[in-house]
Amino acid sequence: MKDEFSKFKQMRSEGRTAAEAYQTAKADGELFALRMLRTVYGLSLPDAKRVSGVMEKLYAPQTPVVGGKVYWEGSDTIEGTWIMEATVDDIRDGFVCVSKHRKFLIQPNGLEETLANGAVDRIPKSYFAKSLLNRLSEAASFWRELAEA
Amino acid sequence: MDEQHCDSIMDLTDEQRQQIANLGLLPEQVEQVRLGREVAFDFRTESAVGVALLQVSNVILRCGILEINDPGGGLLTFVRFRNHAFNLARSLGIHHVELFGMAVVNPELRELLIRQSFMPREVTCPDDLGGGPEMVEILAKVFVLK
Repeated sequence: MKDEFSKFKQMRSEGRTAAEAYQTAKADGELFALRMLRTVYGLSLPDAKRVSGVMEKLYAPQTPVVGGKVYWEGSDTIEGTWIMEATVDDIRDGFVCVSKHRKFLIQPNGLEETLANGAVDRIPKSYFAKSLLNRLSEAASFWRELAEA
Repeated sequence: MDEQHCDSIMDLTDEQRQQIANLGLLPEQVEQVRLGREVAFDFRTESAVGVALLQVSNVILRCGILEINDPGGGLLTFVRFRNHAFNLARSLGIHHVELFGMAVVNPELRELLIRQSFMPREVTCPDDLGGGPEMVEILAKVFVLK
């Protein structure tokens, strides 16, 4: 009987992450992808949901809605690169007004929540037209070019 | 009722089978529902996609959400899901519906459900989600349909 996860077991043996495998698996449906994460990568159900939820947020452009959440990236020489989450309070004059910030530092072993001091509360709506992954890639390129200059 | 199996095997008309299938279940999944199994399935409505679970007996319909994505839907997302479950129960002649959220990782959603009297309990991870010895928390509430 063919192992439905043989391709993903191969991916894991090649060192591909759960998130990378999830991106491939979800073409066969979200249920299949979640089952793959649990079976091949040994993730608990909550952790498998976190992987799929994070990937959804990383790859898709964001559509700010009042009451919903938006995410953006930032980086500095002290904390490194971080992701900010905030709740949309209002959308007016081309700006998204946010509050209830949560800040996550991107660390080698995952995301680490830290204090969201001094976070902006008004962001141009056009900012969210690019996916968070695109923005993170551009930020990484910027810092790399700066370091090499 | 054991969340994985129940003793009731239901007789379903073709129309009832179609109503279950309208939630996104494949024919073989509808058959598993008829046999009383808890079935996880890719869920799709007019506005939302996700992963849901369904188990039906002659006395209660259990319907839960593992994941749901309804951009801009907010609380209406859950109202619509609830309505789908209630309508299905009525069409099957069932008067009790247990709605639940499985592995709720969003702290605000968890708080909202608990405020709405959804009670936490641990269940075994469904076979359709990989099974195994892992216990998973659900937040559940039973509704009696008039």
